[in-house]
Amino acid sequence: MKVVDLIKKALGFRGDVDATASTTIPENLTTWYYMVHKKEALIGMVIVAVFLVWAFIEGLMQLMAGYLRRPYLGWVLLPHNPLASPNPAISLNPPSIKYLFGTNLNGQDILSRLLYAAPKDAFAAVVVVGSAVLLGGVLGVIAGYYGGWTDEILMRATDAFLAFPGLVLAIALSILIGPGFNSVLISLTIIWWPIYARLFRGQALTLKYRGFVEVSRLFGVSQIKILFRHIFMNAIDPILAYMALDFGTVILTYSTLAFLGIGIQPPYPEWGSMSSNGLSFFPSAWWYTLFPSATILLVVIGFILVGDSLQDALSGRVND
Amino acid sequence: MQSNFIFFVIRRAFNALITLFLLILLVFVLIHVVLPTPEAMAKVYVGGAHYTPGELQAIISRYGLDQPLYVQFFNYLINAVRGNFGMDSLYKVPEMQLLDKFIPITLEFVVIAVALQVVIGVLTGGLAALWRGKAVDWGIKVLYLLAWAAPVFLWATLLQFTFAYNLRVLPSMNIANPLLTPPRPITGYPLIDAALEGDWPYFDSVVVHMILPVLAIAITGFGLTTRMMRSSSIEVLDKDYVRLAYMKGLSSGKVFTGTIFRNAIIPIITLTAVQFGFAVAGAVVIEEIFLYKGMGFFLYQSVVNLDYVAILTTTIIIGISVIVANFIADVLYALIDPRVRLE
Amino acid sequence: MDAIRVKGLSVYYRTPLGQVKVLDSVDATFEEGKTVGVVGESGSGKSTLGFAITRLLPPTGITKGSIRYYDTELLSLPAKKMREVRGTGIFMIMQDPFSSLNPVKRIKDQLMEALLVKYERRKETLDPKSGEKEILKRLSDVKLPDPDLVMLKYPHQLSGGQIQRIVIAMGLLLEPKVMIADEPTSALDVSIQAQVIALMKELQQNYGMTLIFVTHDLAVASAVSDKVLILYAGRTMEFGDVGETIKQPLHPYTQGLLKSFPSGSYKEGRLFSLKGMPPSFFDMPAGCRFNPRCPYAFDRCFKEEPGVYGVGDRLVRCFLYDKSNKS
Repeated sequence: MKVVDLIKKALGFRGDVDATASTTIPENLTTWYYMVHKKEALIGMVIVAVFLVWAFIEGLMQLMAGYLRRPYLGWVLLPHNPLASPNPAISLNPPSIKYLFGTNLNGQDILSRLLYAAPKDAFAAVVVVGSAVLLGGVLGVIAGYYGGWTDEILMRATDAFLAFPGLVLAIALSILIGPGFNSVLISLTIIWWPIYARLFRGQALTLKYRGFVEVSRLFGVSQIKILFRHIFMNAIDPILAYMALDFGTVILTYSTLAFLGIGIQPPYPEWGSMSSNGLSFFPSAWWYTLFPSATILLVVIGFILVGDSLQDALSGRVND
Repeated sequence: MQSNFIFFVIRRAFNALITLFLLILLVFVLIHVVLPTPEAMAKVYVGGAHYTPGELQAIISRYGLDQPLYVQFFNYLINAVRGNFGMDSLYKVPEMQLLDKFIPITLEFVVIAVALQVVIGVLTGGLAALWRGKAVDWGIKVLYLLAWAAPVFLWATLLQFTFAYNLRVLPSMNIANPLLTPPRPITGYPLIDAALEGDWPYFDSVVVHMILPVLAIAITGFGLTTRMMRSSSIEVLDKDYVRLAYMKGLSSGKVFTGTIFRNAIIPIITLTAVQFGFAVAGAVVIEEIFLYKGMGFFLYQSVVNLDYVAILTTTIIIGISVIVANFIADVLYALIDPRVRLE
Repeated sequence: MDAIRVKGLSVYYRTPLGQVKVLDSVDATFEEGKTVGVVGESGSGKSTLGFAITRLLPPTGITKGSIRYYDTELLSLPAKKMREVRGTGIFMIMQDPFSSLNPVKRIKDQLMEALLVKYERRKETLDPKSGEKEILKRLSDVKLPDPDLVMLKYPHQLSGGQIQRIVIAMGLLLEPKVMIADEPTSALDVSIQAQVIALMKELQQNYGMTLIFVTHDLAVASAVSDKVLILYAGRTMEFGDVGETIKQPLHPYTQGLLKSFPSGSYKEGRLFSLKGMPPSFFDMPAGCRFNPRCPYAFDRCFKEEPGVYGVGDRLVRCFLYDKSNKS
C-alpha cells in the first residue's frame, strides 16, 4: 500500500463527497499531508527552514565570539569578514567567484554581510511574535474565558492600540525608549500583542463552552490548568497560520525602521539598511542593492507562502 | 429600517469617540511608562539640549509635570480636544499650526493611493478567483507576493531611480514645481485649492509630482486587497445563491455584478480602513524618499531632531485619521450589507 | 416524450487526493409532465445528478456521457446556449434555504430578476407594476403569508420555510419545463416539510411540469413521484414505477430502504435496517458496491459488478435477477 493510499484511508473518506462537500476535506491529518504535497507550501517551508537553521548556527557563533572574546569566530563560517575595515581597492567590485554577491562601497563582501545579519532578523521575528503571542495569548484567553469587565477593558485597550498604524507607533516608542536593537524589540512587542489578544479571545470564547472544558471544570481541574492546557493550547492551532505570516511582517517592519535609522547601528549590517544604502549606486552597482533586497523578498515570501498554505490547510479550503 | 440605520451610525460614532479617548490615554500612559519621573519628562521637553537643574525645575513647574498623573492627563485631554497639543520644542510655535499645513498634503495623496490600491486589488483578486488554479491566478500571485514582501522603501526608491533619475519622465521630489506659486490655501489640499483658484498649471504639476508616491504606496499595499478579494470571491463563488442566480438563467455578467461582486466586496471595505492605516504609516517612508512635505515627512524630521512633542502629536493625529477611516468603513459596510444594518 | 434523457453519465471531482468518480455511468429517463424521485443516502451522488443536468457543478467537476433535454444535447452545448436552457427550461431548487438567496438584495428584486429573464426570452416587455402583481400572485400560490411584506425583506430576516417557498415561487415565475428539487425539505421542520411536499405535488400537477425530486427518503419520494430512481455509491441500483417498487422492491438495497419506513424513525440518510455506511469513493469494494451491506451477497457479488437487468418494465442492478445466473 502506498503512503498516499494509507493517508486516504486514514482520512476515512466516507461517502460524503457530494456536490458541496467535495471541496472540503476533514481536518487534522490533512494539514501536514497538504503542506508537504502542495508545491507553494513546500517552497515556503524550505526557504523558512534554511533561513532559521542558518540564523541559529550563525547566531550561536556570534554569541560564542562575544563570550570567548574572539570576534573572528563570528565570521569563521562566512567567506569574508563582514565588518572588515574599509578598503577602497576593492570598493564596489561586481559579483565574481571571490565575492559572489559583489562588494559594497567599503569593499566589504555583501554575501558575508547578509549572512552575518540573518540572526538579528530571525531573532527579532521570533522574539517579537513569540512575546506578542504569549502576552496577547494570556490576556486574550483570560478576557475571553472570564468575560465581563476584564473583557470589556481589554478589548477597548486593544481597540486603541489597533487604531495606530504599527510602524508609526513603533517609531514613536523606539525614540522614547532610546536608540538600539533592544528598544526596537520592545516597541515592536508593545504594538504587536493586541492583535493576538483579539485572536486568542475569539478562540477562547468558542472553546470555553466545549465539552472537554466543561468536564474539566466539573472535575475541579484548576483554573490555570484549564486556561493553559485546554484553552491556550487548543486556541493556538488556527493562530499558527497568522503567526507564520507575521514573522515576515516583523522582518519588513524591522527593515523599514532600520531604513529610517532606528534600531541597529552601523557598522553592523542590517538587510533593510544594506538595500537602501545600495540604492544610491543603482543601477551601475546593481548588486549592492539587488542582493539584500532579494534576500528580504525571498525570506518574507517564504513566510507568506507558509502562512497562506497553513491557513488553507487548517481551514479545510484545500481546493483554492 | 431608516431609524435602524441611524441608530447604527450613532452607536458606531460613540464607539469611535471612546476609542479616541483611549488612544489619547494610551499615548499618555506610554509616555509615563517610558519616562516615569518629572525630570525625565522635562528632558524630553527641552529636546536633548543642555540644561541646568534650575532650568529643568522651571520646565517642570511650567508644564505642571509634578502634578498628579490624573491632573496631567485631564489637562492634556482638555487641551487636545481644543486642538492644543502644546508648543513644538524646535520651532517654538503651537504644534497644530505646523501640522495644519502637513495633514491635508498627506491625506490627499494617501487617499488617492488607497483608492488606486483597492481598484487594483479588487480587479486582480477577482480575476484570480475566476481563473483559480490557472496561469492568470499564478501570475497574479507572483506579482502580489513580490509587491507585498518588499519593504516600502524598496519600491519607492526603485520607482524614483527608474522614472525620475534614469528615464527622466517624472519629477523625483516635492509636491509641485517649486518655481510655481502655490494657490491660496483655502482648504489646504493642493489639488482642491488649485482647482478652486483655477490654477491649472499648478494643478497639473501636483498631479505629476504625486504619481510616484501614489504608485509606491499602491504597489506595496495592493497585495493584501488582492488576497482578500480572491479568497472572498472564491467563497462566494461556491455559495448556493450564486448557483441559483445562474439557475435563473442570468448572464454571467449579471451574476458577476449583481451577486458575486456585491457579496465578495463586503470584507474589502473593512480591510480598506486597515490599509489606510498602513498607507499613512508607509507615507512616513515615502514622503521622506520623495521629499513630499506632508505629515510623514514632518514625523521623520521630528524623529531625526528628537522633537518629542511633534512625534507624539503626529502619532495621535495619525491615530485619529485611522479611527475616522474605520468609522467611515463601518457606515459603508452597513450600507452594503443589510445583515449588519438591520440587526 | 422524454423531457430529459441521461445516458452513461459519469461525474468526477478532482480533489487534492486524486479524482473521485461520484456518478458512474448513470442512465435515466425523465418523462414530460411526470415526477421521478431520485433516492439515495447522502453521498450517493444524487445532488450531483441535479448539478450535472444544469451544468452547475463546482469547478472541480468533470462530466462524461450524455444528457439530452428534449432534442438538445446539454453537455456539448455552448455556455451561452446553456444559459438559455436554465431558468425557463430547467430550474433547480437547492437543499439549504439559508444560503439559496443573495443576502444583500431584497426578495422582490431577486424575484424580479427571474421574471425579467422570462419576459426577455419571450421578447416581451414588462412594466414594474404588472411584474409586481405577478410576483404577488405566485407568492400566494406557494401559500406564503403576507407576501407584500415579505417582498420588501432581506433573506436573513426570513425563516427556512419562507425562503424555500420563495425559491419555489421563483421557479413558478420562470415557468420551467423541468424543475429539479434537491431535498427541498431536508433543512426544514417536520411540520413544514409535509406542507412543502404537498405544495410541490400540487404545483407540479397544476403547471404540468416535469419534476425531478431528489431525496434520501423513499417514503417522501413515493408520495410525490410516478417513478423512482435508486442511487447507491454513484450507481443506479433500481429504476421503475413507484407503485410496483413499493409493493415489490427488487434490489436488496431498496428492500432495506423500504423496511425502514413507514416508521419514520431515522434521521437524514441513516437507515436503521441497513447495517454499515455507504463506501468511500476512494475505496470502492470490488464487485457489487453494495456487497458489504447486502444480506444476500454470494461469491459472484464479490468478483464482478452486476449489469442492469430488466424485470418487466423495471431495471435493477443485481445478480439475483440475472437469468443466466446458475448458482
